[in-house]
Amino acid sequence: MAVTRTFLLIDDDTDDRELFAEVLAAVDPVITCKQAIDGEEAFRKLQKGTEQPDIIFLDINLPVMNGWQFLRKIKTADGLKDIPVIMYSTSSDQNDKETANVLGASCFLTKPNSYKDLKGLMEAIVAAARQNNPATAICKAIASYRRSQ
Amino acid sequence: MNTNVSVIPEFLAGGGEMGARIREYDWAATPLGPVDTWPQSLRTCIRIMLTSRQPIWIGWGKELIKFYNDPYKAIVGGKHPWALGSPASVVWKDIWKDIEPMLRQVMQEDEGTYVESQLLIMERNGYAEETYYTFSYTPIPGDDGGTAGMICANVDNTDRIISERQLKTLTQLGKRLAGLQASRDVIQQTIYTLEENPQDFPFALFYTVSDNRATLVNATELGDAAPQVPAEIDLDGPGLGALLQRAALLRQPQILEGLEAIMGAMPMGSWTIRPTKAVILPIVSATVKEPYGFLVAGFNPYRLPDEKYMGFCSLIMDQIMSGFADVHLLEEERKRTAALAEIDRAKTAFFSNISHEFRTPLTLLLGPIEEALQNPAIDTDLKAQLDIAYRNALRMQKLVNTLLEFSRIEAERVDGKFTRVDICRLTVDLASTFRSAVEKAGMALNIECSYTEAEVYVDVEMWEKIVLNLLSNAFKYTNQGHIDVRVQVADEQVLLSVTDTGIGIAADQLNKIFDRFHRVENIQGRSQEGTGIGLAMVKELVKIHKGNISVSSHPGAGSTFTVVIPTGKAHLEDGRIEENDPDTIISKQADAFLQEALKWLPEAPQYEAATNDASDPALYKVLLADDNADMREYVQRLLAHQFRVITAVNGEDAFSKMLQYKPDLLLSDIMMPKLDGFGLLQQVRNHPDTRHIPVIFLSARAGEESKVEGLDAGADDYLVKPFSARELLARVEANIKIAKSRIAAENNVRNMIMQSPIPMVLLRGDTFSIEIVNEKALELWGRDHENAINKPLLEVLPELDKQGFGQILHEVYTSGVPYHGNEIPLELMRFGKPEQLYLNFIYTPLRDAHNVVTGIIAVGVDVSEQVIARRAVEQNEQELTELANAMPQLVWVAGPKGETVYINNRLSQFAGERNLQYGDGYWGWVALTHPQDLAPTETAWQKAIATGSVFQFEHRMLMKDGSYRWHLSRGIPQKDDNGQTLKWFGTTTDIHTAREYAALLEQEVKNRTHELQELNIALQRSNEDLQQFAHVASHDLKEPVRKIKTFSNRLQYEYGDLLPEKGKTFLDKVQRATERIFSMIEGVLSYSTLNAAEQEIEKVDLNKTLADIEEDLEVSIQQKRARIVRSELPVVEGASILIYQLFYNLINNSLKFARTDELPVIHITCSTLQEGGQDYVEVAITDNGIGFEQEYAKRIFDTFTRLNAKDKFEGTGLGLALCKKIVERHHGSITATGIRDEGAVFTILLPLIQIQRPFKADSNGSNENLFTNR
Repeated sequence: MAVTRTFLLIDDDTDDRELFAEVLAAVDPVITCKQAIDGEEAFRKLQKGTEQPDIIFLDINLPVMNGWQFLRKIKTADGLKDIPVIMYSTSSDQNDKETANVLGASCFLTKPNSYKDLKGLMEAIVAAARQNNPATAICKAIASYRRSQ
Repeated sequence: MNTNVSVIPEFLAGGGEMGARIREYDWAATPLGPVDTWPQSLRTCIRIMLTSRQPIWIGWGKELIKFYNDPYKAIVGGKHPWALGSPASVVWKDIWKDIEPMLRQVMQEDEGTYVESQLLIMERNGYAEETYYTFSYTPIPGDDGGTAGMICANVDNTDRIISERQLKTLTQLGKRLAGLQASRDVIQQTIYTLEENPQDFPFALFYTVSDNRATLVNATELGDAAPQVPAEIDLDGPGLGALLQRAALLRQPQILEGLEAIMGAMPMGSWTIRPTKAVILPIVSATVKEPYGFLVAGFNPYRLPDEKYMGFCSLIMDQIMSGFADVHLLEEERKRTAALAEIDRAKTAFFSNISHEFRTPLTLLLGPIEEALQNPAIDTDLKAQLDIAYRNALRMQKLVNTLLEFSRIEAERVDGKFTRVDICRLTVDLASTFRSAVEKAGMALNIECSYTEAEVYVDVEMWEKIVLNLLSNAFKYTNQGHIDVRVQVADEQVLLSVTDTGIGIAADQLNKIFDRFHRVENIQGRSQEGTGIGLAMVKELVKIHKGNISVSSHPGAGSTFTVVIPTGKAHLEDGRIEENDPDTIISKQADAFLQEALKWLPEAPQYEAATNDASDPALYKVLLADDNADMREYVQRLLAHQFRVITAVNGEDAFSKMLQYKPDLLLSDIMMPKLDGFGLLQQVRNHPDTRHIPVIFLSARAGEESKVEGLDAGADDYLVKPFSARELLARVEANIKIAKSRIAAENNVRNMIMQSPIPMVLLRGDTFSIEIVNEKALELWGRDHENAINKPLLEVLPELDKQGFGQILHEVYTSGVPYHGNEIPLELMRFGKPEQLYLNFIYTPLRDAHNVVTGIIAVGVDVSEQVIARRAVEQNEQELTELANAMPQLVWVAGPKGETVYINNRLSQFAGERNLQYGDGYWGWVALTHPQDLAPTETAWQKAIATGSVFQFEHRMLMKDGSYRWHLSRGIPQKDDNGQTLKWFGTTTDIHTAREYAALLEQEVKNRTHELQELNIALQRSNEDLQQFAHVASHDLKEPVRKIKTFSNRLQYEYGDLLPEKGKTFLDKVQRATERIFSMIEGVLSYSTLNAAEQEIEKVDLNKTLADIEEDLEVSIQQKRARIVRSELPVVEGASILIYQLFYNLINNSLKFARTDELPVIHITCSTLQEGGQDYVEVAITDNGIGFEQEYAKRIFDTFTRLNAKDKFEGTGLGLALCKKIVERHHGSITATGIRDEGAVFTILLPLIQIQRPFKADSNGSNENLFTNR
């Protein structure tokens, strides 16, 4: 059974990071949530790191190296390009979603507007993370969660 | 239907992997037979199992053929997937003997059973994990009614079991480490406690650290592993040492990986596998850098070192650390106590030595005096003096003896010699010696003793001290009333009580009163004299008698001291009892106590010296204040030859005599009853009549500190007892002289101030009390002398403080720097009316002999008239200048010869720097005039000067920007009575505009055209900027709003139940308002995006678009129970996202504005038509909602138009505006018709083919910006 152990959340917003990690921990204490505040820091850590995250959650508006730059970089980096990336942004702009798709993000998750939503989504994500192809499963879970709302 | 394809029965649908496996399994080959033959109860159970998220398995039939669901896979572990369809006895072969009886009970007796918190090692998350499950076996009836199978549901208890276990370890550790005495015990208890939790800590090793080496001092049972464990670890070494070092530096637990490679096979604790990791807990004090030690503990092999486990380890570490900290504190405390005891012993030894040293010279002093006194030929005057010397030497001897005695008791060198006494007689006799003194003081002494034959043993000398000390103490602190001494014998105890009606003792002092050297401060006794050891000694003496002493007191009402000693001799050591001396004689010490007590009484008249020549008016007067009669007499005798001496017995007495006699000097003791020296000094300094009188303190309090204290308080000098006669006389004389010359100087100042022709005042002290003020000043203030003198200035003139003068005074007073004020405005209430004045004034600090600022001399001059007059002139000039500057022309004034004397600030419009130098009569107009115009201009000007006629000429002048402009200069002469020109008044006016009007006009038109073009470009740019701005701003706005939403939602979610009704309403309002902002931002965002983005044209199937929309709006459609009826729609060309938005908004609109009394129905119909050679589709969206009045049909497409209250219908006011924009972008149109409360129809006309392709964002012409006002 494929096991998802680690998420990496790249977001410069402290509240959002904390909220994400907190809700994740509440929903599933086993999955660790690593964090980075900009693309550059994240990319540096990933290049060095030995324990790579299973899935990356990526914000768009980031200092130093923004989400698009990071996405472009990681998707062309040997050894890192297979780590699935799920966009995690405030934006719900269709253009942004298309850009994400073109640059190779697995899917686009607009930051939920309510705590309840975040919790529900996280439950769906965590449940999907246990499946064989976690990124695809998570994207499906997000889509179906959105539809059910 | 094809019979070969088996239909999946509904109960097997879904269920993830296991659902699929069950469906695919060849059941026909098992005893259960094909699926369609399965009984209904099995089907139901399997359905339950597949849909449950709880791990469940089902056993069916005699063999309990196994089914299970996805969550159960982790429990069945390696037996998956073959366990499916296998008999339970095969699957659970390893634990069959445990579970078989339970299963039998279920199957045969139809009775459920369950197992609680069973430990199962499972790989749920990719590693073997310690887990606990509670599971139940429940029988399932078959269709025939008998038990046909069972279902087993499992509940995960892992977290609870582990948390409870860890909590227990922490609690135990906390309990055991509390109050331990030694570090060794802390380590022992830690190891002992960890040993009780072999799950989390398979083993534990404790190392202590010294010199950077960790040494193993204790460990849990290690068995065979003991020799492998390193007994010492070098912290500077690599590997383990480095890891320990790191842990100590970070003060955080560290994980040791690869345990087996480092230490070999370690104990397994309660597991069957060995730990592979260990945790290192540094034990570091918060203050000391070197760690105390390390705890190395084996790690639970079935858990990960995650946050929870590490958190637990950190808590363990904290507990151990606080255990060490407690022990450390205890040790420190022990050391401190030992040190204090040592100091105490040293002190006692010192007293003992010093007292011995005193006794020798005292003896040599007393002997000769006694002899001299016995000489009958002695002169009376000399005898009186010798008497004083003798009395005081005796007193000193008593003090020394007391000290010596006390130090011996302290050193436990006194044991007492106990004899049997008649306690009544002894005590009554002793007490009676005080009768004369008590009665002389106007009080009563009551002695009461019930006659007793009781057998009482005391050390007579000690008992005397007890009684005399208590009596002396009572007498000292009682000014009126009575003193009662009572002896009682009862219950084999002797009870001695001494009760007074004195000043009493405050409650907070009661428990300190028996402490050595403790003296109650600031109390009104007969004397301040005393050693502070009397009561402490009494206490010790009573203790030697195996008794105890207590005190009770009411401040102001009196105190009672009670001594209790046992009767008989059983409590005394045999060797200390002397039976042979039953008669006792009162010793000489009673006399010493009495003599001392008598001296505390006021004025013994026989000692008043006859030498006091107080009546000689030619002598300076000295007031002497001292409560000690001998001291008074001695000092008086010394001074009497040169001064007239007045005496006072305490501070109060002294002050009243100061006012009465106005002495030239005060000589005062510091420690005095009623009012002490400092208190007296303060009163003297605060009274205007005595302020200047010099004060000399006399005190026995030696040392630099008290000297400074005395001088700080304002004394002029300080004499320490003992002092010599010569020194005293010299100091008194010197201080009187200094004071006299100071007074003379002050008188000079006074005279100077009083006679000064300008207002002057002397302010004294930091209250700025008006000490001297002259008539001029009073006149200026509008106050009279009586209401000003000796009062604080800021009280007399309160308006000063408000205007900042108070602060200036304080600054001068504290800094000592004079202050000069010039033409300072001041509003004064003069004779009741406010008046505006202007003052020139100086505040000068006044210093005393010690250079300390003690006051301020203020001198002021009223300059109001000058100031007001000058201000008027200045204002006049100012006005004229402003007038001139306000004129658009150059205004100038020239002298009779044409030299410029004034020019207004229009000059700045002209070129060059030369023209600024008009001060010397030349402002450079010559240089500014156009060369072609210069000669004629000058000719005209010279001519005007010569003839005195009006000058007028047109000429070009060089401007600041380098251009020449036409000017008209005109000057008019001002003449005196003789017709002589005094001044020229002139103007130079810019007439360039008028002259060049035509040319200018032409140029203007050109410029304007150009400007317009530029403006157009700028507008376009700004439009793009605005759009960009709207987009970015909306994005940035979304962030905080989303957070408000998230956190308010979280508030409701987590704390909603705690909020009162009102709070819930508020929160609800917040959420609804935020929701609106959010939708608004979304709207603005899509609206602005529409302008900005470049959209690809593609074929859009409207049927599909609408199907998508219906799916996306599903929730809302279901909620409103709406129905959408649509006919077949065509394929159009357009931007798919925009087309989607268009219809989405319209349908959403219809849903939003649905009527509450009718279920919404939305009809979408279409037709195609041709217009202008182009094919169009017309789509009509008709609803039965609230509709609108037809007059609004156009306005509803404007941005931010709302027809309905926002609290009734949600909406941003942007939706329809967006629709209109999208339609127009596609070269179509949109119209709306509506009837209020019946419904609305939105009709969209869209071309089937977009001719311009690709179409772009609006160009400047048709651009409608979001923020453009319409």
